[in-house]
Amino acid sequence: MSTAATEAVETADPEVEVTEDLDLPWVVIVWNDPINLMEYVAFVFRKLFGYSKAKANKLMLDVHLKGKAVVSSGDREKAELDVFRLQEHGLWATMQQDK
Amino acid sequence: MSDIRFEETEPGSWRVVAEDRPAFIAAAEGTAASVADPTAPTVSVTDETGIEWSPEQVADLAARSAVEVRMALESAHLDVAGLEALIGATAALRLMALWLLDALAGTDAAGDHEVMGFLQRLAHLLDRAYRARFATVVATPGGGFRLRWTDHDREMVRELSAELDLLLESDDPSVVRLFPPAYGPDVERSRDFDALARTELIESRRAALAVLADALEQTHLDADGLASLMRAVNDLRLVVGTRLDVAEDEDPMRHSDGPDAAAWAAYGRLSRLLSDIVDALGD
Repeated sequence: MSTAATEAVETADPEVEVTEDLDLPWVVIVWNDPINLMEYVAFVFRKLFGYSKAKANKLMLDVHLKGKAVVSSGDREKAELDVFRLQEHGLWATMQQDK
Repeated sequence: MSDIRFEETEPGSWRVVAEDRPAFIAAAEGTAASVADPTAPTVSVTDETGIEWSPEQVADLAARSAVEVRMALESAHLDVAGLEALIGATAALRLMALWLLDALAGTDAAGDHEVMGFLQRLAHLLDRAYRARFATVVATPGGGFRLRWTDHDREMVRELSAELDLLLESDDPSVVRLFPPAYGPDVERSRDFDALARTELIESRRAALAVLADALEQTHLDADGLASLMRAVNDLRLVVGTRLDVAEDEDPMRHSDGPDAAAWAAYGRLSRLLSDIVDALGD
């Protein structure tokens, strides 16, 4: 699947690339919001990442109770794709380099 | 926990599918027995209409409700009247289990988990039966999903969809929520991501809205269609919720006579619809 999200990596400013530690994985974070339905959020985790009901529910509860949860990780390209798919489903998803 | 399903084999006829019917019947009869137990705290209540129920009347209703639950669950098929009788009886018993737990709270029998177990089973049974009868979206035994829109649903969804379609490319605060900054506080990278992803996110949302608009005229939908419809309904719900500045776990019923009553009603309806869709797709 080709998405605009993957192109962002290829066209990124090379100077920015130099300053980041390439070994550090990127993590995708879903943040709590007062609107999204809990059962919907858990279902989206199952649908997008193939997680079990138990794992999806655990992550959903982390989002709900702790305010956020890391739902996936990987290289920058994968993280951007995951952020895209989560945002496509209306979830408040961001990515950052694990430190 | 053992599950129970009501499969609509043809319009207005449901097959009862349960691994463990006796467990649900036991929850109904156990609740009725607990309500009638002379050693337990008495349950007497005043309902919403102001009518006072004596403990004997409550026990009598519980007993009759338990009989109805047993009859329904021992049937192979239920018609509309049969399913609605089950819903009514289960709802009554569930309320009684709640009252009973209330009455037990603070007593020596407060650790009485038997009624807690009954309550969970009754709540589950009620949820399955209620959705089977009233959900807008239900999975059909042959695969795919059946849609059951009301005119009010169609009107509300069309109106909100048209509004969202117009706003998607704007900076209106109610749609900003749909496009969070991908890199959080990293403004520059978020902007780069947005420059590339925004158009595609908008197109994807428009495509989902088109599936929803088309589905309003249909009675059946496949799983891919329903997945798109789900996203569109969630987008509408996010936009309405953002405008209403919804707080965590808010009950739309609390706002039923305020200035935003119509928007709150739409929000509540979209919440129920989304819940039905997730439930139908869930397994």
